[in-house]
This record gives sequence, C-alpha cells and structure tokens, in this order.
Amino acid sequence: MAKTAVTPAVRRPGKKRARTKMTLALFSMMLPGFIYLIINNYIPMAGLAIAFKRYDYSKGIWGSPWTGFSNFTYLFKTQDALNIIRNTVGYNIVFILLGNLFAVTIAIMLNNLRGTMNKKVYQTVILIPYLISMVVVSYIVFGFLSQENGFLNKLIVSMGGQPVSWYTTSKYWPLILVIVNLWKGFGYSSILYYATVIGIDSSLYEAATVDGANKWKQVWHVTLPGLRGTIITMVLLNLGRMFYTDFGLFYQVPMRSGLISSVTDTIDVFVYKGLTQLNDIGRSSAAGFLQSVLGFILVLTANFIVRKIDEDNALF
Amino acid sequence: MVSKNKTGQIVLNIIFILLTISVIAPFLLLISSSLSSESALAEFGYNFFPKDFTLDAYTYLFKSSMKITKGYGITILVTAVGTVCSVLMTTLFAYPLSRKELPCRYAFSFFVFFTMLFNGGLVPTYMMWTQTFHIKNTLLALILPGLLLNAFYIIMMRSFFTANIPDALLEAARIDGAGEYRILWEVVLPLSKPMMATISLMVGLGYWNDWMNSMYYITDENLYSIQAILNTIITNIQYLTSGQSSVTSGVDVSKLPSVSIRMAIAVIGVLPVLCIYPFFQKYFVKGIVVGGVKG
Amino acid sequence: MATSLAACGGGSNDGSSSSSGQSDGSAASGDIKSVNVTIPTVYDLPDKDMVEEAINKITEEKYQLHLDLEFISTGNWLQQSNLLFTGDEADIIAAFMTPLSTYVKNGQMTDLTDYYANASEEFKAVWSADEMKGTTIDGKIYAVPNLRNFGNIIGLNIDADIAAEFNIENGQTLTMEDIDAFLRAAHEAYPDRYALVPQGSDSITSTWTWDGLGDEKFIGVLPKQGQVTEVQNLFDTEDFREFCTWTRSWYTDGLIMQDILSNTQPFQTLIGNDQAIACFDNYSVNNVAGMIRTVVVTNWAQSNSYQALCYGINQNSKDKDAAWKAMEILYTDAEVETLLTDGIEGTHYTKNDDGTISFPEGKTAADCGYGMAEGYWITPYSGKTLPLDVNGPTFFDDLLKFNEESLKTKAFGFAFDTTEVTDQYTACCNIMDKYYKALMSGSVDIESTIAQANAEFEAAGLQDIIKAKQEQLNAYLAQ
Repeated sequence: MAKTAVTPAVRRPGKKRARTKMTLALFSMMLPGFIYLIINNYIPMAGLAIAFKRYDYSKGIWGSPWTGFSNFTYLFKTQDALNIIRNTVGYNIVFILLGNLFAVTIAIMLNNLRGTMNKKVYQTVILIPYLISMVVVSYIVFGFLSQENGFLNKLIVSMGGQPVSWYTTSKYWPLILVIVNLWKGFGYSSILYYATVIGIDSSLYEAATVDGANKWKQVWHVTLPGLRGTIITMVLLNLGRMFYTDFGLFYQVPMRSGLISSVTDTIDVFVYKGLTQLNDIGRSSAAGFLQSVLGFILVLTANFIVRKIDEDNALF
Repeated sequence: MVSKNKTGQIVLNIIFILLTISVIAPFLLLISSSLSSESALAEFGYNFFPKDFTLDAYTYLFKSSMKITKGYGITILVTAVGTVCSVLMTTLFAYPLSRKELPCRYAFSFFVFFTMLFNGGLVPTYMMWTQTFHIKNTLLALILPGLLLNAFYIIMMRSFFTANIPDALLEAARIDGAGEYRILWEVVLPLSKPMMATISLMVGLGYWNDWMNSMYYITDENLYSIQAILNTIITNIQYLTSGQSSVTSGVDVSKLPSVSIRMAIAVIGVLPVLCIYPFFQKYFVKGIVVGGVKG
Repeated sequence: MATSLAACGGGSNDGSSSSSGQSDGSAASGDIKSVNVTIPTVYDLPDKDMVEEAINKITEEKYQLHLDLEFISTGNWLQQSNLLFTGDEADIIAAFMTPLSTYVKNGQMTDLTDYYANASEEFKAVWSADEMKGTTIDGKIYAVPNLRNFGNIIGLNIDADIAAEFNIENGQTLTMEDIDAFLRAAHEAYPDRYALVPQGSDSITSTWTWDGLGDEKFIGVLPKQGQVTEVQNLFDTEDFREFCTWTRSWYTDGLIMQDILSNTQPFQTLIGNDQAIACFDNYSVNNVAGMIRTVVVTNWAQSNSYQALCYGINQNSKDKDAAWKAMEILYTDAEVETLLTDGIEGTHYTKNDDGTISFPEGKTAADCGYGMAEGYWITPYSGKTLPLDVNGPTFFDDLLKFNEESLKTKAFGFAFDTTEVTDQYTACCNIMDKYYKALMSGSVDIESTIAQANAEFEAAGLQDIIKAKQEQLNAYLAQ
C-alpha cells in the first residue's frame, strides 16, 4: 500500500503541503503532553502567588492579603544563612561532579564487560540502593556508625583505636554524606548513561578497531563523544536543582543530630526546622520560589554558554 | 592481545564484584535485621546473620494491615497503566522536540524545562486536581498528579533521539511516503529500545515507589498503594515511639518491633522490583542487537 | 448550547422545589444532614465502616444527622489535615500536632464562642466555661478539648525487679539526689545495662518544669512549673541548668547510653528486654508494664495542655450549625461515644465483670479491626466509655480527678502569637534544634555550649521574642 504512494508527480506545492502536514502531525503528537503540563504544572504555578501572601485558609489563595516580600526575610535574618547556602551549593557541586563521573565510568565499564549473566546480575544489583527509602538508609548508616555497636567502631577498636562518636563530630560528615549520596544514586544514573552507550552506532567502534585503536582509545574517541550530549544535558538539569537538596539525606541520615548541623544544614532542612511549629505555607513557598529562581538563573547562564559552544546540546 | 583482554575483563569483573558487595552487604544487613528480634538488635546492633531468629516483624506487618496484598494489587495496576501512558506521552512529546523542522522548537523545550524548576506547590496542585477534576479517592489520583509526565524524561529522550537517530534515515522514510506517526513507530522506536526500556524502568520505579499521591489524594486507605501502606506503618510507629510531648498515650509500644519492622518494610518494598527487573534487561540486550544489525 | 443551559437551569429550579416538597412529606429522611468528622488514628481501622454504620443508626434516628467518619494516620496527619482545610471536605476536625493558635492564625478554625454560649446544659456539664479557657485564643473559643490527662507527673520509670531490690516503691517521690544515688548503685550492680535511657527515642525527657507558653520549641519559657511570670531564656534558667548538670555527670560516668542522640529504640523495648534500668517519663494515671513509676516533678499542666489535641470546626465547612450539633452529640451521647471509642461489643471488645473491657481473645489493638479503645486520648470524648482492663475500672473518674488536681501554670490558656517576630523565631528554632537535645542528654559540656548557644540566640534576636512573649503574657494576665 505505502509503496504505491511513492514518487508523487507534483513536486513544489506538494512539498509545502507535506511540510504543513508534517508540522500538524508533530503538533498533534505533542498535544496530550502539552495539555497535561498546562493542567498539572502551569495552572497551579499561579499558586506561587502564595509566596507573596499571608495565606488564610478561609479566604483561599486569591482572597488572602498580599504581604510583599515579608515572607522571604526570615531566610536572610539568620546568622547561619551563609553557612546554609555554602552547604547547599557545596554539596550539590560535589554530587554533580562525582555523581556523573561515577555513573559514566560505570556505564562504560558495563558496556565493555563480556558475558550476559554477570552483566545482568550487576545491572540488577546496583539498582537496589535507589529503591531503599532514606529512612531505611539512615538505619543502615546507623548500623555502621553507632557508637557502641557500629561496624566501624568495632573495627577501630579491634585494631586498637578509640571508638569515634560519629554523630557528634562534624568533620566526618561531608565525606559520609557524599558516600551515602553516591551509593544511593549511582545505579540509577549509570543506567541512564548505559542506555545511551549501547545506543551508540556500533559501526563507529568497528571503524575505530580497523584504525587500530585499543579499548582505551575507543572509549576516548567513540564512547565519550557519544555520551557528550547526555552528560551536558544531565549537568544542565542538575544545575537547575542547585539550590534544592534531598531532605531525607540531610535530615534523616544524620539522625537529626544537632551537633553536626553546621555541616548538614541545607536550605530545605533549615526551612523545615524553622517552620514546623508555624505551618506557614507562605514562608515555605517563598523559600521554594527563591530556590527555583536562583536555579533558573544558573541554568539560563549555563545554557547560554553551551549554546555558544555547541548548539545541538543546549537545552533550549 | 587476547591475554591482555582477559586481564581487562578480570579487572572489570573485580570492580563490579566490589560494587556489588557494597550494595549487597547493606541489603543483607537489612534482611537479617528484619529477621532478628528487637532485643537482639538493641543489644548487639545489626548483624549479617540474624541473632535470635524471628518472623515477628513480618507477622506484625501482615497482622496490623490486612491491606498489604491489596496494596500490592493497586500498585501493580497503577504502575502498569501509569507506565504505559507515561512512556507513550513522553515519546510523543520528545520526538517532535528532537526534530529540527518543528516550529518554535526551543520555545517548546523551554516550556518543558520550566516545569522542572518551578512548581506551584502542593496546595494549588491539590486544589486543581481535587476541585476541578475531582480525582480524590479514585485510582486516577495515583496515576495523574505529578507522575504522568516528567520533564526530565522528555528531555533525556529528546537528547537520545537527537544524538542517535540520523536525519538521513528519517529523510529516507519520508521519501518513501511514510507519515510522521509511521516514522516514529517503524523507524525511530526500534532504534530507541535501550532508551525506551530505561525510561519505562524509571517511570515504573517512580510509580512503584510513590506514596505521596496516596498520602495527598487518598483518605480511603483501601485505595492505598503498597508503599503508602508501608510508609504509614513506619510513620505511625515513629509517632508512637517518639514520646510525643505532653500527650501521653495509653498505647503499649513494648511489643512493637519498631526497628526490625522498618527493615522488613524495606525488604517487602524492594523484592518485587528485583524480581521484575530482569525482564526489562532483555530490552537492553536487544538494543545492542538492533544496533549491531544496523551497523 | 443555550437551550441546554436554560433547560438545565429550569431543571435545577424544579429539582429544588420538588425536594423541598418532598421534605415536607417525609421529614425524617429528607432532613438528615451529613457531617464529616476527621479523627487521627495510630492504628489501621479496617472495620471503620461497620462502626460508622452502627453510629449512624443512632444519630440518624435520634438527631437526624449522618456522621461521615474519616480516620487519618498520625504519620500522615500534618499533610492530609492541612489539605482538607483547603476545601470543605472536613467539618469537625482535630487540631493536632500544630499549635491551635497556628490554626487560628491561618484562618482554619471557626469561632465557636456563640455556639458554646448556646450549647445544651449537658454539653456545658462536660466542659465548664472555665475549662473552655484552655482552648480560647484572643478571647474566642476555637475548639473543644478532648478527654486525656492535661497535666503530667514527671518521674523515673524503673524496672520493677530492680526497684524492688533497691526498695523503691511505685509512686514514691524522689529527689534528683536520690536518683543520682540510685542510678550509680544500680549501674554498679548491673554494669551490663544502661542505667538511664531516653524517653523518646532520642530525647532524655520531653517535658520538665518549664512552660513554653504554647511553643513546643521552648523559646522563652516560664520556669518553676509556670509559677513565676517572668519570661526567660530557657538556657539561663536554674531549672534547665540543674537538670543538665545532673545528666552531664551521668553521661560522663557512663550511666547514660552513649548513642543517646541517635538512638532508635523506645525505652519500653530497652527496659523490657533487660538492657536498661530506668528512664524519665511523664504520665498521669496510667501504668506501664514491668516498670514502677516515681515522682520527681509533681502533677502540673502547661499553658497549652488543653490545646495539644482538641476538636474544632473547619472554617470552610458548608454547614457549621449541623457540625456543632454533631459536636455536641460526640461529647454527650454515651452510646455514640462508646461506639466511636471502643467499637462494637463482641466484635472489637468483650465486657468484663468489673466494668472494664478487653480486646477479644488473642487480639490486640493493632489487629482487632477497630483498636481505637487504646486511643481513648484521641477521640473527642471518652469520659462515658468503658475503660480498658489495663487501665482499671475507675480509669476515667481517676483521670477527671487527676486533671482537677493538676497545678496549672500561671499562664494557663495563654498561647504565644509569633506573627511580629517570625523571622527571629525561625532562626531560634534552628538554634534550639542544634543544642537542646544535646544539652539535655548531657552529651556536651554545659558552660561552653550554653555560652555558644546564647551568643547565637542573641544574634538571632531571642530578646525580641522574649520581649514579645512577655508583653503578650502581661496583657493576657491583666485580663
């Protein structure tokens, strides 16, 4: 059936019509998603107005009185503001760099691995941490760090050292949090990179082999360039979340221990601790709004730069 | 050459075995703790082999909530329906975005990306879904809000299409007279199996792990997803054992397996995924085969 | 389109007229109004529908009201209840986990002053005008208290066997010196056990002798069981320093578990399994299995004790009159109360000869289908229900008496409004989180830590909060 329609007689007007038809087809594909995003994301965004209001449940969003920027001030009046921002941004930078590095490495290694059975097992197993909730992760971490029964302290004592009070000593926590975050996330993100790696056209590898490139060179000249787009996209997306943190990681994993809060408090944790008694949705949306705006500016800048260098891989 | 390759493989395997241990060890710790008695946990901490073996945590779970099996059913249904719809919508949205011919392409990409950064917050979203669409206490509440379409997956899929589907291939199909839907179905999708599998897996995990929608949109606990049921049990126990302020409860918590139960909950939540996951992997392997044929 | 709209409008007119005609004809069924009642729960209640049906059999006939019961797990309470307030889904709803004053400030609760003024005598007999002051904010009643202990005795729970060995009796009064001597001796005798474990999983005790004035973070308090009226920084009060000095010496001497700040085990498990000897606890007339109770701080009630869990009417409720009517039923109709609290006889409990009830053979609150009986302190009013066997036949009378005897803080009924100082307050909450538990548990040096904390408090504007609290309190006391 399709074959008979090939080679149309009229060319020019047909091409234009075909083009319109194609555009319409493309638009029609996007329609369901478009409607969904409008309903689920864009219309509720009007609720961002709450950040500038004193929300009164009996009056609803639009009836509540405007308060200007007064919902924002509490974020800056604290002495710890700088420290909290440093923690938030600092951890995120490390997570983005190490997380992506780790994930890319694992994806490439997985791709170079021979045999199907072992590959399948590794692939399945590394996904486990992602499936375990932070509350439970915090218990596992406690199993290692407990002062009296923890594995680490047992190990230290058996080697003749003094047990460490992990939950009250802040200097260890940057490392602990980075390890926990990597451990929990590497399976998930490496799977994403892995999908891209196996999508790379295998003729490219064959060509490289013919040129006499060894495995290392193949990775360098074929795999990494093939991953370039995905890496850039991932990093750009991560930048947008630069001012958000995983609440569970920073609040539950340190077991809410106050003594180490100088290295575990991030914006989300601060907001949570400050507002639990107040149940003030105006102030909490103000914090979210600010986190979004800052992330937004960051992504816009980064995207602008990417676009100058490599237009194909820019986000928009 | 061959021997060098072999040592390479051995090194790779060793690295992966180490990684596997780093993951499996804590997981075994979970399983063994879920099978230990509370007193053994309190006295000896966690151990790789259950001390004082008991099924208390699991009995408590299944006794205290008769909805666990039902919760599994609901989660499986919601995950299946949600994943199919979501992957369909994501693909349909991502493919046009990857096409240079799409008018206002960047504007649309921006439209998608923007949703990743800004959201109206819980209250407005809740009001939208409950007061306009009345999905409260229906299964739709577990499928629609938030999870159905994720900007992140759209963007990842768009990148994949841009990078891995050669324009020439599309052009050839078009000259053959194929419409856009057919090109997507017959040319693009077969080449995108690894990505499709990945996105399905991620969306599926999203639905599987979700308890927020149950918590926000469902008050009839008969409709709770499995994760929501498990989460509710955890938070209830947390409340009971936290010694909340001045309200003293008459609740006897001495028999609550408060720690082991959390471990049991994690095991119950994770195991089914581990059983289903290998079926997905077929597609990862197939993806390579297709790529190979193409090359 | 236009015609269908018109038809629709006409239809609805017809509908309303016919329905009003109908209600004239059959008053009983037409006039039944439905009221939603939202209650927290700590257990899964699969038999909820059965109980609801039994209750409605009574209320529909007797009061022409249909009660639509909704139970929300405590763990989900904060999120779900707040969402319910955005619309009219809930009518009667508990104020729980968030201070009542916050609910009022957010415009979530209806002013009930007039309703109470016109309430039935029976209802006023349950809660006198004096007691309603406990749930009054700015001179208006916003909620109705439920029945539980409003005051608390705070003392040391001790493993029953060890207490007997050291000749300490249930209900005995102990000074901190006595406790110190006991803990040290007990530690000597049982070196394998922790002498003192936390009350909550990670805090040594949840209350002591200071009153936070409606603020559970204790930023600005009245010490000495609220018998003074000068608001002070908690860390500067004698009460606090004295308590911390004791715990510090116990902690450094190894009497307190080292993992106290990250502990996850409740004391019941630790003492019940012979891993610990004692813990601080607050209580009223209820007992705890396997342990004896002692008295360190006598029975006293904080300013917000009535407000910690109470029932109000959603500001967005469509029919507040009906909701109030239902509220009165929940507090005055013994049959409804009993059904709501204890469930159905024979199915969820069995009666004993002494007037108490027990869960059915082999069942517990967690798995009997409707274990609310253990949650007598949650339901709106349990005073006319049947007590559980473990609590004893005179439990509810004892409870009422206990409440009557409570020493009330001078700021009783006062609730601090943070509006003017919210910025300072959020900052101070974070500082409190940092130091409070650590100091209380004795795991840090007192003088240096308090100095450090106070410096941070100073910078965060603690004085502004204390000043505002004092001003509001003075105005309240002047009334």
